[in-house]
Amino acid sequence: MAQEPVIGIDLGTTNSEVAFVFNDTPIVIEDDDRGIMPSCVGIDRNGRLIVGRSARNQAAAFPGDTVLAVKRRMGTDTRYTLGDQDYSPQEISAMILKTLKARAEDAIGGPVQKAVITVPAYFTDVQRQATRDAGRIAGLEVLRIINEPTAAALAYGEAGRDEDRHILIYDLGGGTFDVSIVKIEAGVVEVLASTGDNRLGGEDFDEALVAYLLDHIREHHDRDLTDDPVAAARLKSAAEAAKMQLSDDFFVRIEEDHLAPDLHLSCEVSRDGFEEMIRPLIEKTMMSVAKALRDAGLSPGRLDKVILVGGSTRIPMVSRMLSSELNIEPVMGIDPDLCVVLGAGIQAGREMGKSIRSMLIDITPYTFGTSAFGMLEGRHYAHCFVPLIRRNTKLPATRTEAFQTMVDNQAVADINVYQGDSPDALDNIRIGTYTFDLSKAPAGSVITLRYDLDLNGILTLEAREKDTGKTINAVLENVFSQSGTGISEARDKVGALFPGDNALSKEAPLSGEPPRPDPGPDAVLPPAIAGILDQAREKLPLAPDEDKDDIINLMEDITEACIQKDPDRAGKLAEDLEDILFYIDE
Amino acid sequence: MSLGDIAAKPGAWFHRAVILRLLTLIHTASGRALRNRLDMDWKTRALGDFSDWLDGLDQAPPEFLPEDPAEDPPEANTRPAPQDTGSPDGPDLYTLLSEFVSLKKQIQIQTREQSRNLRGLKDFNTFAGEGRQLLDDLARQVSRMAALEDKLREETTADILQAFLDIRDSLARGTDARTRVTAPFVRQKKMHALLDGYQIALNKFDQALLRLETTPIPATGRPFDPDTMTAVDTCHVPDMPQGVVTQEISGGFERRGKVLRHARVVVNTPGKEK
Repeated sequence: MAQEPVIGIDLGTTNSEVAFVFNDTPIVIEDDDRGIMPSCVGIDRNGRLIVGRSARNQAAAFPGDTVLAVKRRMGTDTRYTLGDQDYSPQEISAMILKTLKARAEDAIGGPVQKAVITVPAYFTDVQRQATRDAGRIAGLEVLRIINEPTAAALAYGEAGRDEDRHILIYDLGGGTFDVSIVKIEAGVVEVLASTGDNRLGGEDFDEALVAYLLDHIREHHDRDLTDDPVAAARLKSAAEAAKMQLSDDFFVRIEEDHLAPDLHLSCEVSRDGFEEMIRPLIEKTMMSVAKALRDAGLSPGRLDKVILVGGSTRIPMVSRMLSSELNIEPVMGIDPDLCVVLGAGIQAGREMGKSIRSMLIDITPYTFGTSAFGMLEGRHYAHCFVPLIRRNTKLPATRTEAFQTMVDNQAVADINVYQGDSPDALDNIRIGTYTFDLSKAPAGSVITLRYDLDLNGILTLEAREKDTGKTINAVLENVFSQSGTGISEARDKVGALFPGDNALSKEAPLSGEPPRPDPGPDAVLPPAIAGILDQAREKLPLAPDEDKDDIINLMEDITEACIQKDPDRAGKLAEDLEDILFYIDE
Repeated sequence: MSLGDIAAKPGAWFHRAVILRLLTLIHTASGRALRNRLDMDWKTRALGDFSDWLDGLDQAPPEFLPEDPAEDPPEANTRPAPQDTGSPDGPDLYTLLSEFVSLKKQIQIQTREQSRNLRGLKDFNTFAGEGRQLLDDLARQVSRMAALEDKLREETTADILQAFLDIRDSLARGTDARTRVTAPFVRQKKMHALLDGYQIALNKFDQALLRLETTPIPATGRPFDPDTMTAVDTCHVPDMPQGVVTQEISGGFERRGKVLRHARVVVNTPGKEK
């Protein structure tokens, strides 16, 4: 009898997702939407119940007929009116769960009646019970309610490790922020602390950028479009797209034609500029991180891993600030939008008794950057390391940084490519050096440097003069194996300091042809004889005891004859062996 | 009495027949194939078989058989088997044994060949089975790859189209803007030509989209449809029905029955007059 399917559901405030284990691998089930369904329920003009994208589409026009962010009301007495009926938060959540259930049933090709559902770590028992009830209303037996940070840790395979671990999960989504610290001991996950702000997220960053654009229009066009909803809607879309692009590029030009009669917007935003706009918000999240550490009674040094969850963690400033505060490089190898549901899917698979293949995480094991003039330990230094693609970044990755020329008419810029984490570039491994001939320009002219790193360890770089568009390109291959070279060089350096110590050279011969490994007796056997010997090995356990010795002796004699290059004898013995083997039943 | 003793008797054809029968039985019973199949009392069976054979003979002993075998001369023990020339009417035992050994060798060779052939046939069957499995797998993979290719092609086309749809929005807005241009401006013939050019460019754009099976989703003046439109704002236009789209901010498009891009619209609702 086939195992009854169990699905994993991330029932989120803004979006919800469902995952199922296909062929021992958790897969997020899509429906032309990357698997991300808005947690939104409504009644359309015809009285039809709509869930997900359609409900989200009508929210601005018919807010009274649409329910958003029901998760915030779970476990309360709130009532929602849709059409001529009242619904509890559990019933609204059940509509979302039922839609996800139907999506899973389509993908699996059969009925689904069991689920694992995730909830925030701070959810009370009442809220958890409400979630369980929602599942039951949707026709799902909720086998387990698991915490979202636990699900994230599961997705990263942390629960399967033997040693005790402390993990911080930083979850910055579209409209909520949570930070949790979990302790994993012998596979048991304990939430030590959880805090956050359920009114802070990516939408706040969009609004900050929209406010900047409105200011720009006021300043450059002497027009105020604050009360123009159409213009505001277009600016919001443009800001959202620019925000995402700024995660990869250092400069983005936002251009909107006919924003108002006779008004076209063309405005360049730099990553630095954007980060300054959102700095207070990110700093607020850092205060929550500090609070979570205090609540857990841990120092940052006790953390073994920092996991990034939620789409807004793609903003480079988040990783940078966390790395600086906690002195540990955060990981984002799994799509941060889908990390929690994948963890729920893994737990669902376990409930089915399946062995789950660990998630394939393609991340860079090293940090790649360049060097520039800057401040190091309070003094000017010409070789400050500037990381572009940080360790643990999901691949393929693209990052751009901007630099400035130091003097007027600077003739060249040396572009060094380093691999390492030391703030002093010279302590890292230099894997490439390029000279960029510059156009004549005043000091402070901007040069952007872009790194593209793919899964095969091919690092493509492009340096570009921002004003002239002049570029140079280079490609470095096998950058992941460069560390091996570094270790080899270091070993040579250390070895040189100990001339009498030849222990290092024992590890691998430094010169001359390496000794050939012993090919073994099978290497000299003719294929026909090798086949008979294979057959003998297979049949030996089936042979009667009185034949076993004969078979073994013949096998040894054949092998010996082959080694002694006596093909006639080997052939004859092989025939004898073949005779014996014929009479052995399979 | 040993087999050698019996074989040494001159003219003992009957004894040779007995020996031959015994040898056959022994050989058969000691053959590895049977040996592995027979249980340990093969000797009992051989003797039983021999006894059955003896029972089948005439009760009267053959004429050449000595009346009392116990009277055989004891010196027979010392005679070597090869010296037995046998009866002049039948083959001698040495030749018989030689032929028997030769036959055994031939059977061994045939058996080996048969074994090889069987193994070869088995390997071939396995190979054929694996081949069929491979072909099935290949067919499945090809089918899957074809589906994946279709999906990728659709997604790539949709991605590319999305970028061009933004350009189409700009053209549409530019064309729309000419209706708002003040009268003295449009009296200039060159400006008319410029604006007409905008419209022609837009028409050509739409024709290109049509060739890619991409059609606009009609929105303005239609009831709001949450499956194909996204409401970004509301307004109140008294002479229009409620829930109807009053303005399209960016156009929606469909391709092969799927929404490529939702139309972003302003919807007429009560109370919020603009």
